[in-house]
Amino acid sequence: MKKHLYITSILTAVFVVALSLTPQPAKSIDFGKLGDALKKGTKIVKAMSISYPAEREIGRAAAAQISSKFGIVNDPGLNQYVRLVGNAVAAYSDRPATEFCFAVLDSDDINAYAAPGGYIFITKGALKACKSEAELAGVLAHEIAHVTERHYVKSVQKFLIAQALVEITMEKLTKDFKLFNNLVEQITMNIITKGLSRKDEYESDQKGTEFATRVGYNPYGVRDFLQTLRKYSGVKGDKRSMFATHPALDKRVERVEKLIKKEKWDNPVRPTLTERYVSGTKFLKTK
Amino acid sequence: MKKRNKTTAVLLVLVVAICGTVLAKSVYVSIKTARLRSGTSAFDKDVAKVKLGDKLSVKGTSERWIKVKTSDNKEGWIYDRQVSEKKPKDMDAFASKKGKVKFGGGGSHDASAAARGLSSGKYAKKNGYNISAVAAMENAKIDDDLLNQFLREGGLGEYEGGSK
Repeated sequence: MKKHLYITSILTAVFVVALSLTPQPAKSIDFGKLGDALKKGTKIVKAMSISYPAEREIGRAAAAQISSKFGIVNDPGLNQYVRLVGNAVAAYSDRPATEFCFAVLDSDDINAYAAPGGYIFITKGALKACKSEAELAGVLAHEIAHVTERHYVKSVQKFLIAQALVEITMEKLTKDFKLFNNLVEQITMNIITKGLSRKDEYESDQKGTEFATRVGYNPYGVRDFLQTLRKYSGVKGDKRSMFATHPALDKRVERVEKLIKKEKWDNPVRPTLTERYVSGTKFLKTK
Repeated sequence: MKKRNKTTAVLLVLVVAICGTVLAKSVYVSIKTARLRSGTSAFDKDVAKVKLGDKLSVKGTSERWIKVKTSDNKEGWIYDRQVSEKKPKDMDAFASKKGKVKFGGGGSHDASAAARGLSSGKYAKKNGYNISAVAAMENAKIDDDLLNQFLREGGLGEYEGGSK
């Protein structure tokens, strides 16, 4: 009996010591829990595959169409500021190896777009509507999340299944221009007019909030921009803006706020960098 | 008595083994480049640079900072949001030369770099789209030092909490 007690005591000590010596996981790593839960949604498309270079090539063509449709604002300072905010968010996203690139579209619509592979656009109108760098970071983070979660690539799954295509590689795309053309057309239509599923938009709101918070921005950037959209959603006949293709804004605001509270991302209070935003976007005041 | 000493020795070995195992916990660098610092602040001296995907052994933690050791035995502190427990997504796309990727999984190269830009260039030409605008986007890169300065001035990233 004594012997058992002795061994039990030592074993208990072993585990207590081991537990105390275990480095506690960093708080930021907890951000991954959300991602893991959200990734479960990708199971439905596990039978298909697409290579990252092929994704980038499709996105590059879609980006050519988007930039040609709207035009790019020709102000190096403004584009550089958006690039800096975008790169900061992308660096702390779930696809840090991806070469994200950013540009400001010459449009007064309040909108932003993401093309597969890391091409991110924000309109001049959206920049005018934003009030702080945290809000801008939120919009860009939302778009970056569409890329990290490969939403537009997944949006063509029905087309690929119908074509009995389960694997898209650069080699295949290079040999079959008709296939490439069809994929780009479908994806660009989803980006500009059709939009994504409600589930994908919710996911990007959540992941976007997570990415911006990781960088250290005030976590309410995505929420604030959704509220900005809600403010403008009363404008009759506006079918070109973000709210024309995005699900109910009230519900999205509610979900983002719930997430921030649950994850305690609002403590400590993080910066909105409003002054730097005013300075970084001063070009817009002259337009 | 001898038997008890033997048991104690075995258990001590077990203690050492378990402690060694838990301390050997590793993390991966989850940002393109990061600096290891001599202390738990972004304003402490740089002791080493690490890059995306590097595996680091965890030696301890202090609030938002993790003490780590590189594969070439350099020790320092890294901001906890610059590491992850899992290898970053699409790292394989930059490390491997063949294979494919499933949605949501890792990635890999499947073709030579020469094929890049061919289809998108052809598509843009056919439809009269401006591919040079996209090329300009791609070429306008932000270097690490500039991004670091931007983060520092904004009190972002590892500079969270203000500047010195």
